[in-house]
Amino acid sequence: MKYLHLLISLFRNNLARDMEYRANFFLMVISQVLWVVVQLALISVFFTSSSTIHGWDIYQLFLLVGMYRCIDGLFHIFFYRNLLDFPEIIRTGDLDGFLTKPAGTLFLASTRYQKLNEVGTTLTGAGVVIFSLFHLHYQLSLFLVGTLFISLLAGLTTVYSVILMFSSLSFFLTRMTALEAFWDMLSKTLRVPLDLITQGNSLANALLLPLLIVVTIPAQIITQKISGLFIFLEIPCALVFFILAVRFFNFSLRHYSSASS
Amino acid sequence: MNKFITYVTVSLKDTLVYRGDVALYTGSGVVFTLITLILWLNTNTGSPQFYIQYYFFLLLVGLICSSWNSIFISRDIRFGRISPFLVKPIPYIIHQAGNNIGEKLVKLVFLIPILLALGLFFRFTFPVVAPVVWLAFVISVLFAAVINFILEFIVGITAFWLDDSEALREIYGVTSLAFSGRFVPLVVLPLFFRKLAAFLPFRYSLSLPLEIITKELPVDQLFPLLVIQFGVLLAVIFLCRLLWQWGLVRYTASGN
Repeated sequence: MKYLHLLISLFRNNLARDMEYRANFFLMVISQVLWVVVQLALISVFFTSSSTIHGWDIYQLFLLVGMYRCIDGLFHIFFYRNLLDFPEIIRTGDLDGFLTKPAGTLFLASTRYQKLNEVGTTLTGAGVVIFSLFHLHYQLSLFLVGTLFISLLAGLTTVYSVILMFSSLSFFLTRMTALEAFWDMLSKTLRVPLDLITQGNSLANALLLPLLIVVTIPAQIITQKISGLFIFLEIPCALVFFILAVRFFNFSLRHYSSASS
Repeated sequence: MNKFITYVTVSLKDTLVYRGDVALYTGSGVVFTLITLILWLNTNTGSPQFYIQYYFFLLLVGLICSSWNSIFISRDIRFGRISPFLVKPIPYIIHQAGNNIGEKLVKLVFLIPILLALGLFFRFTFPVVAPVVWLAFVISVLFAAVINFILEFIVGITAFWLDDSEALREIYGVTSLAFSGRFVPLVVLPLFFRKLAAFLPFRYSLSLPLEIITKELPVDQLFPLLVIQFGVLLAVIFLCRLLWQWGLVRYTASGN
């Protein structure tokens, strides 16, 4: 409960800060809508003379992109800036401020800044998901809503865990600005069906599992390319990645020596 | 010229300190292009060799023409960090250009082995074109690199007028992605978008050299298109100078 209150306070604080640059805030929302429109338009170019790509038709691919945008938006709103600033707050010793506060260090360091203008990404993502499901003739059902909800939660948890693990490396390295490039690479990879890359190869599937469970497997479940039972793989996998990431963070934290130490 | 070379050398040395970072940045660009190529190869549309050649050259030309300075320029303006440059006997843009070229030289070193490996994997073959086409390609790449750099600079200096130019950078980014040929070759876009692209500067900031080298353009069209590209180059330089001068009149650094 304490953390929920804290999160709400942080939310208010971040909203007030974002509203200082109101024009930029709304322009950002518009630009995210534009991103989605352009992305979908460009994807549709791939289908001008081919009805499927590796078994994915255009609306199935839109569904995958929409689901990715939802996760991407939520990740940007709550965690992106915090995790990417991690190397810098460790390097400058600013992490001291978090360590001395009466709340979990990881919680504060992960949620202090929220990028609320990314709400456009999440909303347009949700719009694309609904648009795709409509074109794929899906009926609203408990299974569908449950699958989408679990997928979003598991996807977000996995993305957070992967980035947290990499940010925690900053406790050992002097500079890690390439974290942004790593995120860039990850986000570009996640927005395409990864079975295109793995081509059914078991080793590739195993290696890319953390990425596959973010969007590809959920989209495959919904489009019935694989069994619905795979949804039960999502939760334990996401939990395992989360526990590993938190443990690695706590282990790394023990190696922290602030700038003034 | 000596001052410019000094800036390039400083940037080169600075970039070499963080080799791992630069390698990852270079890899990030490769992944996106590679995935797009794989998507095309799975569509069974057109000649696979065309897409392989297009995306192979895109990796190289994309890096040579790449520019990322707008975010740093807008921060420098916002926090008053351009002030020291205003009293130096060398323009701020030269400092930015030096930084851009220095970093790209290091990235190129990382990119070349990747290109060789990908070339072998995808069985890349060089297009058979006349020497004049290669010449046009090289000239076009140079023009495109300058156009892209200046366009980024222009986006950056909008910070003279805007408190936060992040949204503008996003809009610039998405328009550029759609109309520069970075994601899909302009030749495969629907006719309306292809016509629209011809009137926007983005085609001349990346796509044109790729169109030249992948033989999408007849040889007799090369010279007129290079002239247009040069015209675009002059226009963006003029606009940049104008905006920079207007912006400096408005500029008040913190503490001034």
